[in-house]
Amino acid sequence: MGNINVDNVNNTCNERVFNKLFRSLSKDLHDFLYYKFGKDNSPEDVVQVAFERLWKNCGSVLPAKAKSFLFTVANNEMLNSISRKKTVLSYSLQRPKDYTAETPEFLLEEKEYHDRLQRAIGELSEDQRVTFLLNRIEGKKHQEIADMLGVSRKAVEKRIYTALKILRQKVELNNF
Amino acid sequence: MTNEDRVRKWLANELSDSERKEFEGTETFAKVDRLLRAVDSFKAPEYDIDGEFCKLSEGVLNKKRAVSLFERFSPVFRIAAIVVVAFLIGFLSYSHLFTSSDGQVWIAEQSEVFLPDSSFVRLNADSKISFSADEWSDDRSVVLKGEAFFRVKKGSRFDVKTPQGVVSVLGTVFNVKDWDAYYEVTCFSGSVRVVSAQSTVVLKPGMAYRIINDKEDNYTVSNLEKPEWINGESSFDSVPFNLVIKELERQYKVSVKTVDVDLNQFFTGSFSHNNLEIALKAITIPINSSFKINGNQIVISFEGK
Repeated sequence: MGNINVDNVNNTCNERVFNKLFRSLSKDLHDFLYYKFGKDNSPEDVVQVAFERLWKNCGSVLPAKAKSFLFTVANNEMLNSISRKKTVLSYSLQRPKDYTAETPEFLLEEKEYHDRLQRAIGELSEDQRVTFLLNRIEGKKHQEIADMLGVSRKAVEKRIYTALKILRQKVELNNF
Repeated sequence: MTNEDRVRKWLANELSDSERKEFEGTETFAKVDRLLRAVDSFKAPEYDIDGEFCKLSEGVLNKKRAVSLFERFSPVFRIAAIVVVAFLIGFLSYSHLFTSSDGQVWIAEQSEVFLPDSSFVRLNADSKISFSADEWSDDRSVVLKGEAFFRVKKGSRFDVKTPQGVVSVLGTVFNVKDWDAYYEVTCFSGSVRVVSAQSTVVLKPGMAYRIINDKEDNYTVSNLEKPEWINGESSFDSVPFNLVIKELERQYKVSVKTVDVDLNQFFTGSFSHNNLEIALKAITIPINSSFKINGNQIVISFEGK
């Protein structure tokens, strides 16, 4: 019954505390869902649902436990509502700095390369994909990712290396 | 060091300065670098923290409403109001933790459900489960009506409650069936304890326990992975024929009348879930009977002497 004291700093039901939790965790949660499940599964909506659930249960989740609560709830929300579509991330084609100097053939090859890469990323296992992208794109350290996903650092390193290997196999054209 | 080793070490930042400089001059590195740069273009869209928080407050925290209420009251009232609201929120969230199972929602629309700890449940036709998401970390217990297949994550005790018994497991794979006259628990992995009105039994992989028409029975199954119904087939081992008919009715959403058929005879066999005619042949031929289909009314008649 400690909920009566509204200014208790270690209380998730305190609006200031909740606000801070949102500011520090929402982007990571969103990115995790986006990289793991793709853009077609409304990651922003699932973030909302997860934080709503946290607010509803604020009396029984300490701020220090909020992160693992949110990630578990969000992951399960996704699994329960997910349509069996292929995971699609979208990409924006990087323009080389002086692209006007590039030939049409080069630009076409660039586009085909990105298309292959997009398909290959979608074909990675969910775990490989989310681990690899959180590390390479968001710069998350191996231990950080290990904590987020609840696995060992070694497992994270292995997933990253395996993902790179698979992507190279599918994307690089070996002219033999 | 092979090339692959170099790539792996480079990824994990384990190369010495000189090794790294050397590797970064190779053609392999050029290819890897190109791929990793291209990967950057898949960055997630910007997350608008302020905008999303606004959305959340409007929906759930009801900040807007509370503010306009407060504006009307004097400071003294506002303090009293805060205390009352806080007490109410505290009380509501406290009592929510003790909602009885009558207040819970049944899940039946999806045939596959992931529980709050990622344990997996697959429901058979006409079956449903209910559980308390809020209390899940303290008490993993599911109320089941009908039949479901479970894959439970290791953790604290996990209970499945049905009218005829309670199945308790510690991280395992099993199937529970409770259709009134037909109670059956099959263990596929780990170990499962069943407490029924008649006895307490511990099942190991491949073992099954059932109560049919109040008679207990222990037997073993050969498929050590999952029950046949998950693969689209209902399978029976010496089961009274009327229970076989009930399962067919559930799977195909039909209603069956019988003429001169001995409903107590034991049936061993199976029928598939995707073709009603073939399924009916599968259960009528062994007992010397024929069938007629009339929309979703079926009549099975005994043909023997």
